[in-house]
Amino acid sequence: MDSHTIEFEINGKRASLEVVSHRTLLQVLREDLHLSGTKEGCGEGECGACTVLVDGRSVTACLTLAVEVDGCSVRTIEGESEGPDLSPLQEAFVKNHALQCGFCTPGMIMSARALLERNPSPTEDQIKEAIAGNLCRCTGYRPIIQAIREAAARRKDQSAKG
Amino acid sequence: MSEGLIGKGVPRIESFEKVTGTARFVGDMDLPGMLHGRMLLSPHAHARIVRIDTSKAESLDGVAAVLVGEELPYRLGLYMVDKPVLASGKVRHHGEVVAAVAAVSEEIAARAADLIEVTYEPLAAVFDPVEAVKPDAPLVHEDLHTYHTIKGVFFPRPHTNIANHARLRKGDVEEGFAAADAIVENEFSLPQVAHVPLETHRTVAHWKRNGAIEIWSSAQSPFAVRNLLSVALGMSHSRIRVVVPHVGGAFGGKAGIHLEPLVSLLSRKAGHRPVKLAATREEEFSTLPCRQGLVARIKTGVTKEGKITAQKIEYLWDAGAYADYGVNIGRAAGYSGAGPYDIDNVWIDSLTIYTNRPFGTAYRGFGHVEFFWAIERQMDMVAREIGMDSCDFRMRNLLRPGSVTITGEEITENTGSVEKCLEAVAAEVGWKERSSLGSGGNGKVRARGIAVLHKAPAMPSNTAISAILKFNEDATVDLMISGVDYGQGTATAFCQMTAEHLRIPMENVHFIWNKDTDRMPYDWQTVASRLTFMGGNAVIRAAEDCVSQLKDMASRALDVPVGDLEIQDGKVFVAREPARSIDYRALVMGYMFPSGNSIGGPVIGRGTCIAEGLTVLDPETGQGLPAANWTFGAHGVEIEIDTATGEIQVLKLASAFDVGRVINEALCRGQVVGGCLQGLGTALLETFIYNDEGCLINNSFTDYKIPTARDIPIETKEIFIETPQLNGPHGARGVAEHPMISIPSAVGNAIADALGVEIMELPLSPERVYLALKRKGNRD
Amino acid sequence: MFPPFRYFKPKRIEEVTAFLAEHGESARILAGGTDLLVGMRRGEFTPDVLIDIKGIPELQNLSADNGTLPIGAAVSVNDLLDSAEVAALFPILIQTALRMASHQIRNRATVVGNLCNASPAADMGAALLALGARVTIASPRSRRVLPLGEFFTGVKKSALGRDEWVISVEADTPPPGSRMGFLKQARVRGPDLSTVNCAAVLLPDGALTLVLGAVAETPVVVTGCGSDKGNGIADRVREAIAPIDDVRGSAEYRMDLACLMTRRMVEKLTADSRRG
Ligand SMILES: Cc1cc2nc3c(=O)[nH]c(=O)nc-3n(C[C@H](O)[C@H](O)[C@H](O)COP(=O)(O)OP(=O)(O)OC[C@H]3O[C@@H](n4cnc5c(N)ncnc54)[C@H](O)[C@@H]3O)c2cc1C
Ligand code: FES
Ligand code: FES
Repeated sequence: MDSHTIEFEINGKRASLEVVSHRTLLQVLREDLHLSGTKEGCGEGECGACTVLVDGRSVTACLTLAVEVDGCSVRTIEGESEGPDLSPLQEAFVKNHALQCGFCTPGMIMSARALLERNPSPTEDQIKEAIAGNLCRCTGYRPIIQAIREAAARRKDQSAKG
Repeated sequence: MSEGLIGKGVPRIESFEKVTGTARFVGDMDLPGMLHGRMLLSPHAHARIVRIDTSKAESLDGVAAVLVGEELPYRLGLYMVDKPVLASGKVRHHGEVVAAVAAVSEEIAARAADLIEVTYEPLAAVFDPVEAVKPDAPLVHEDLHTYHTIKGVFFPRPHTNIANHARLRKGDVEEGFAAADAIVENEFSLPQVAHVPLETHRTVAHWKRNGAIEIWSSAQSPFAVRNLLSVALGMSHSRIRVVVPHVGGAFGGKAGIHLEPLVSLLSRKAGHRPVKLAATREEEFSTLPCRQGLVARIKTGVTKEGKITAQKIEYLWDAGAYADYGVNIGRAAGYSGAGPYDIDNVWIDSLTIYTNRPFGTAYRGFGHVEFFWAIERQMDMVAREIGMDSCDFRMRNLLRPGSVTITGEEITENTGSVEKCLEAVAAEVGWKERSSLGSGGNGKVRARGIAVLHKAPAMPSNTAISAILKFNEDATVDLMISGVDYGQGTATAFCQMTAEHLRIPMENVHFIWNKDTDRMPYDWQTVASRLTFMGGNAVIRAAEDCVSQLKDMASRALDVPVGDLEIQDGKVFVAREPARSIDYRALVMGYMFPSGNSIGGPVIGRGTCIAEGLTVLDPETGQGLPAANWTFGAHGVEIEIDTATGEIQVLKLASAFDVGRVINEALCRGQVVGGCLQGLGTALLETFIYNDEGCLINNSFTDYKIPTARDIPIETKEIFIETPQLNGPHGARGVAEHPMISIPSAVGNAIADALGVEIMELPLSPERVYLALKRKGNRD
Repeated sequence: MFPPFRYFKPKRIEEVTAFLAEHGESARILAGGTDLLVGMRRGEFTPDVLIDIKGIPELQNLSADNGTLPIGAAVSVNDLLDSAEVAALFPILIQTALRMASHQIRNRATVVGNLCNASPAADMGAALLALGARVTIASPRSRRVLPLGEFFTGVKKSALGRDEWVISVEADTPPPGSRMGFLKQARVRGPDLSTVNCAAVLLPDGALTLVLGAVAETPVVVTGCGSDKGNGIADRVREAIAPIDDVRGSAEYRMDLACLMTRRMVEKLTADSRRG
């Protein structure tokens, strides 16, 4: 079977991996790298549960081939924080009850992360637009939108201070 | 008693795992030697299986087992034992599983499934419950008369497609109609829809060589899976272990039993290696169960003054190909299906009908979302017929203390108040002031609608749950209860209750997450919004049991009567001399006197709760006590309709529920906001779409749309009324399902009120609304 | 999960052409993969070879030159949204991009991929058709330029020969004072395919190019519209399109939507131009 050696950065660490051409980034993250925080909800780009960042841009890992990330930097939910700490975004999710079953949460946080990086003070409509590709059946989205607003506000406060 | 923690919006206890992606779901599991399963699905809605050739699949490298229905003489089901593990003899719906494979990789399993050759001979099929009850309709189950069911509770009609016929008879409807000034008769319907948990059904099973089975599954109810499997396979309960880790949404669709038997049997055939099966999204839509469709016919008699004198209702449930769970939905509609109204004369026939469609099961609301679409639309239409304001009309007829429900239960001051809910939402959306509604301009019309709702847990009268609290050496406590928290937040509520009753900080309560039938105490099922209610009672009793053990030891240690002792901050102390106290830490593993003599022993609390006072309903009249408690509610909406396209924007949604007592404000609100949007999905866009051959053609997210972040109401308001439930934990009732109920009717009522078009079917999609307006325009 | 294939990521345009010539039908170009990989997952295509074109620098081209905007085959829909030049000169493309798919998908989905997939509902297809865009097609023999109107030949069918592929699509900058817009009706406000879409460009001299999508086998240019608002335009729309019943809507609803959207579009563009 056709395979390639790819070199890329995963959550800040360099990795070199032999991957079969037809495997998706989602499969390789979950099965080969055991980064199971990224979820599969549809396999067709529609639900956003598999959202990860490739070179800072959000993509659906189910519609990205693993070979395609050769030379790229990939971030997953596992790279959002370390040890017992949470990132401000994660903290805002907790505080605002922005999760119920939690299955959409990793992808949702990655979409929010990408949004805040390209637009540190998004409007409510921009937040909705940014997460419209992440389906959530539990929360009704309202608390998620609130969490992202709060995380953005906190970031602004911090950068104003410091 | 001070109740510091009760009512507080503490964040859910498993938040950390969920925001870091470390919460484990079944799909994240990997066992040594694990194989991957794959299903082969029927391309036909109804067909005889003439031949299955598995030889090519079997000879593929890496294939460990291929299973077909003929090898599996088992039938499954919660209430009606009608479901084979794999289709055998014939297939009954498009998407039914015909064969399954276990192989060393998903890819090989998929290729092997493709290599299985099946020859079908298509049979005449029936897709509509109205057609299916006709005498010459094709039969979906020829052997219905042989199926096991609960006698005296369910009433299948052999040699027909009727899986259950529930009857309710109160008073005399003919007399009631005779006393009416107006009679209004309508037919409403709604299609099948899907639950759409973000996590599809997933199971890992290991049939071990010693004959025991271990299962990890995304199930709502580990004990129900174990019980049904044990019955189907004729195996002792003690030989089956079911573990439920985190579950990515369920909404009723993961109650009962689903992939577990198939995966277990694959494991057995594959040389006792563990097998994992994850349903694809397409399978989630067409193979795993959905919500039943419904055709409802309602005839209402009413006086000029607006008193309902009689209501005669026929519910025709489209169960789809199986009704193992579905029969109980039809039954619930039989005892609850006239709405929260005080009506002297009621007649309900609720028929659960087999068709050649994917099959239905419990879905948030358990039949109530469906029949309230009909009841609450009907109430508005009746009010219009007699020229009365529909809010006043409802107020005139609602259940209130002293009323008698249709099954003969008397409503008391503590049952909860639907009137207060309706009042609250009507005020919140400005129902009475709606004549002053401006238009949005550009063909846009503003409209307001209201609807009420009620629901009781639908469960057998002997439903039970148990909880164990087991202290650790440092006086932290492990909480063990088998109700599954797949997002509702019940685990957090239980921890709040435990901490409150043991008078310890919440962080000292350790909730045991994996629900494991080998280790956890029994629970019937996590369904029916019963968990906070019944589980809460069990947890509180377990805590009280601990407290009495602690006080018992302390009384001997301090040499004071038990009655003189109190607890606070993790200590037992003498009420009048608080300085005389003993820390729990000195008690939880037994107390040792300075002399070395020891008394008591490790503290383990036990609490149980059984649905007390429920009765089996009279088979002819449906009279009896089916409901442990009623949660009432109401919704008010304000919408904007683009009359040129039919699109609806929800501007405001106000929802009120009499929850008895709010245990966790934030989590309660979360249930409402989420449930309401799910209700809007049913109201505005969700539906299964079939082609003429009965194949589901929108079995993917490309064409089965659910609301996105851009589809939420502009404003929502959640209102909690607190009429304490006397036997509820802290007075609480369940509210997990209720937010979805009656949302469609509120929206439908708003459309009718503002535009004068009566839409009788769901969803209220842009196209349906547009075409209804167009037809009306053509007629006028 | 996809069936096995071989993956190539050439660095030069000529290599792509050579691979295509060598493998013919069994090879497919992989741009963003948002149509291709979904189709492969559903078993609609089973290519033996995928040629990833995202490693070719020229295909990232997105800078207007001499009054023409070339959009290279590797330019994603979000690249368009990030371009100040596109925002200034082609607001219609921004409006279209914002109504397409989700942010994640748009980071991958290419503009040219949307054309090559040749769906009747392709949103960029409608917008670029209204702009009178052309595609530049490469083959072992030569390069040819084809007006987009001749590129779409049927449902998921294009004029590409088996060894041909698209390097870029080019649109001329409309003269100053032109008005343009994109409208889309879908089942939800979030990401969804068009039930009907409508794109139009109104030139200062009053010439209107109006395109309707998801109402026939290909996006349809409704000719002879002028910019009059009378019933004439609705009649021409009814003649030009041939919607069908499908899972996203009935023919009747689509027909009425197409007329409505046309009316709304003309109103919007003429109001815009009155405002100046
Ligand atoms: C969740 C989701 C939502 C979507 N929403 C929308 C929407 O709102 N509107 C819409 O119009 N589309 C939508 N799409 C479809 C899709 O995203 C677009 O059509 C996209 O622009 C396709 O581009 P791509 O780069 O991903 O194409 P690919 O999938 O890479 O390619 C598409 C096809 O074109 C061929 N191809 C690609 N590039 C070339 C080339 N240069 N020369 C020759 N052949 C080529 C490929 O071989 C393939 O057959 C959606 C898709 C998904 C998954
Ligand atoms: S799993 Fe990738 S978008 Fe759904
Ligand atoms: S929290 Fe369950 S899907 Fe979002």
